[in-house]
Amino acid sequence: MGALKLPADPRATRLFAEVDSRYQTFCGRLPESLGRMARLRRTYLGSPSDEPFKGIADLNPVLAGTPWMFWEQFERLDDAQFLTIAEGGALFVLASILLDHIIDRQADQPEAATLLHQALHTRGIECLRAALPASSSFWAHFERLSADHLAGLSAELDAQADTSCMREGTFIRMAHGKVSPIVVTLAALAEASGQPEVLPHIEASLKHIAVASQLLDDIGDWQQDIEAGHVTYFLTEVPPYRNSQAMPAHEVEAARTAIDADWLDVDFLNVTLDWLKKSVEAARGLACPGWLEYVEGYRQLTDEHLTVAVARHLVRVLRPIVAGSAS
Amino acid sequence: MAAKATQSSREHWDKLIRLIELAKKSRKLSNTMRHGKPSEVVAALREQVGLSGEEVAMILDDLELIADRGSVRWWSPLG
Repeated sequence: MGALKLPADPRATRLFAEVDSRYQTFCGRLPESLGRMARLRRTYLGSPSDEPFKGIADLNPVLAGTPWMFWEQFERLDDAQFLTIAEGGALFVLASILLDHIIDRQADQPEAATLLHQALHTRGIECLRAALPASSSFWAHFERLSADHLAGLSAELDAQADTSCMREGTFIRMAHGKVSPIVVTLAALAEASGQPEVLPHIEASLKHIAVASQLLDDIGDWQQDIEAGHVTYFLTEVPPYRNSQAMPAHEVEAARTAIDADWLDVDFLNVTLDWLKKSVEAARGLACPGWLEYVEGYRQLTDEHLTVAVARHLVRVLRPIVAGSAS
Repeated sequence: MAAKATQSSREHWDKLIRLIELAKKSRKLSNTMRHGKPSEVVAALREQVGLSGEEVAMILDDLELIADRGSVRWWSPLG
């Protein structure tokens, strides 16, 4: 789970390696200290060590690997155009990861990260301009998706400052905003390959999985989120945090009691499963076996989380009943 | 004797899985498990899952093993 499975076609493998090589060229052209930063894994992945960034294969597959997850849909593009879009899309997404880290205050050198963000963003757009003429309807999608990205990040900042802003609609807008830079790559591939009609389906599938992904993160990390004072939609549905403007201090045990009483994790995992099913449904008519397999893998994993959560609650409910009837 | 024991374990395992699947999907059973009195819980298990009070005691350890599965990592699709 979590690694990009390249299509069997050797051309796919060759193009994937070429995008990584282009990333190294990009790093080599940066001012020395920024080039060093761009080659470190922790710059994008937050790992504490000085391990080198191995390229786009190091990232979650959905971030920069979508041209290969939707390979059968876009393999008709020639090498040059496919590569230019894949490179531009990858740099644009890497820029958005840095922006996330800067906003979340996770970037360890925020000033340098801002400069690297600027370099990635500029070069990413340069590639997309080289691949798609100014007259292409791609640019209308680019504007729309960039606005969604900005709106999502802005909503997140508002919610962190005032918990009462975190409602279901805000949460969905935030998740959609986060995935928008990734949709840019697919919008470019759809327009360049003369298949604009596939974009709404791909975009819907990605937006649905983005909501599911954020829910999974929030359910899995609720204790760490409380400890870090990080507001999430899941937490705002847990009574100690419901309807409060600011995050109350560490209420881990009170939150656990509330989650157990109402099986809130079970309810949210069921909602997550619904979003994953919607993601599969949206893409079902497209030629994208790699993508469908990926989403299905997460559907199975989420179902496994649900099994564990339900079993945990059942044990908690049944153990005292069995003990009571035995005494 | 061993074959009978195996058959009995198999039946309990099947009922355990049925219980988990119903608790995931059936709002009726799930609500009783969440908020019901002990007598209502026991009745619901008997009627909806076919589990007697004795069988509930027998499946509890297996249920606990499933609840303790620590190997399920919280990967997320865009994480």
